[in-house]
Amino acid sequence: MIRFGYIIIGIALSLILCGVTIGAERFPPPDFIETDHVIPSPTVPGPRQDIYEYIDVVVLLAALGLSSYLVLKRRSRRAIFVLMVFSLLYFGFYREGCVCSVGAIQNIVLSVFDRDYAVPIAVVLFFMLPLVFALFFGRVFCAAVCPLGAIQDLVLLRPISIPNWLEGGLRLFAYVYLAAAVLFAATGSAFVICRYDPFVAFFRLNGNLNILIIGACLLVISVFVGRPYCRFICPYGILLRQLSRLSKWRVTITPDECIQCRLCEDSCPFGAIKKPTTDWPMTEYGKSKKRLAVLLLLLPVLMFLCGWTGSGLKKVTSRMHATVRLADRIYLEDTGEVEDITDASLAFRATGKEPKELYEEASNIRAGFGLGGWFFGGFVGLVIGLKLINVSVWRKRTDYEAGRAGCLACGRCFKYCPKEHERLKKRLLQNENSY
Amino acid sequence: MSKHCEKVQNRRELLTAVLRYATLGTLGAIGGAVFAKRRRLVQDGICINSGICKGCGILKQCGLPLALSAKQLLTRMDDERK
Repeated sequence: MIRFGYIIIGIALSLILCGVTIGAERFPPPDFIETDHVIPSPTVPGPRQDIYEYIDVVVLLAALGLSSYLVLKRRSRRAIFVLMVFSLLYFGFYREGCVCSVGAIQNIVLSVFDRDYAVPIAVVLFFMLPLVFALFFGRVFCAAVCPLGAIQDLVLLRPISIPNWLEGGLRLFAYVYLAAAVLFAATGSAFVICRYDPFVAFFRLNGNLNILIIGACLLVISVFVGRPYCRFICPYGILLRQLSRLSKWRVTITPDECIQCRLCEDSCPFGAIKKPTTDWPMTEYGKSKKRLAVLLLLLPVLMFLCGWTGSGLKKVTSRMHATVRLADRIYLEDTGEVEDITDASLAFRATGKEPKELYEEASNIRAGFGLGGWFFGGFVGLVIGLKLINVSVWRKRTDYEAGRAGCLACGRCFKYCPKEHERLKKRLLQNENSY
Repeated sequence: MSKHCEKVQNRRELLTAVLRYATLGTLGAIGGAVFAKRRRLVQDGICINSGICKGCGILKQCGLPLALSAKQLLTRMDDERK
């Protein structure tokens, strides 16, 4: 085990040292001797050579494979922890959190909607590989590969449990965030996931102060609430959640048959352990059946109402688009509602373009937001409706189980199972006998 | 486990498997479409890196005016270094 840890740390250090040698400029920046202009240092990492992008993909693939093995076969929390630290160092601090699978959603969406945009192959693979692994092995990406999850997991010291109703309600935010990220990426307005990534400023040791404060707050919350970003905000986590419901193999608390000792009951800091259910009383069954029928009928209405609201918000949401912002500004300046002139409006006027053309362009973009708003709102309505329906559906469970969707495969529950201790003892004996 | 439960379990597993491979197929199709689009854009002579030659993966093969001047500059810089 210790040897394994040394190997992982060794690989991490050698990759970090390799990285020092690739930071050369391909084109020298121009000198602004006449104006004494100082070129500001960028806050985002520069582009990397192709070969290093492919190395990143290979490392991601290896980490996902190793994580699957450690979670499902070896069942070792310690090894998962070591891999998590490696991922934090490599994908977080060395690669400065970019490209990450979470943000890659936006590149894929933009590629679908913008006919002149092509996604780099490495980004496509960063998006696809964790999803494919989730389809077969569950959320092994969240377990030990995602640097955003790792940084929160490391500070989780005094976990408190959150009631199910609150957890479900807070998770709704992640769906809204996913829908918003898709809307803004599809309209070419902004990559909001990257812009509001709370931990990337830590990885780059540089960034917006507001985001840094949000990140610091999230880290403080993470001391008590297990991985708040992963559970209540992460849009990629939503995709992984849904795909891991279909996974072929998944985490089991016990390696054998559950003896219902209840020792694991409170072991999960993410509230992912599902307790056995009792039989539903017949009176409750009848009521729930009626409630389910009403909710099924209400679902399209809810979707329509939310879609209508989403579309109505187009004036606000379209302000994320630079062209709409510029058109608004030009209009305010032309009508004399503002006196000062911004750099953007000055640059626009220098092009000699007619404001009318700009207004028309902005109007088209707003119309796009109106249509997108229907989908955005409809999706949110669908999620709310399905959540309500979920409450009315009865599921029979006889054993303590790791929830298919909610389990982050961290392996904390393994050691609480007496059957697991038995298995480890047996393995130890077998190893001793073989020597 | 009763026969009925086993039947339900099998049906559920079958449905899960069908959905799993359908999702896998969808992901494959998305990936394929994205690769195909990238290839098409390169073949049509459309810049795939928003006009930024620095760090572009296909700079060596690229024949766009911007790329040609970037390559010229690179060669000149190499010559100056020598």
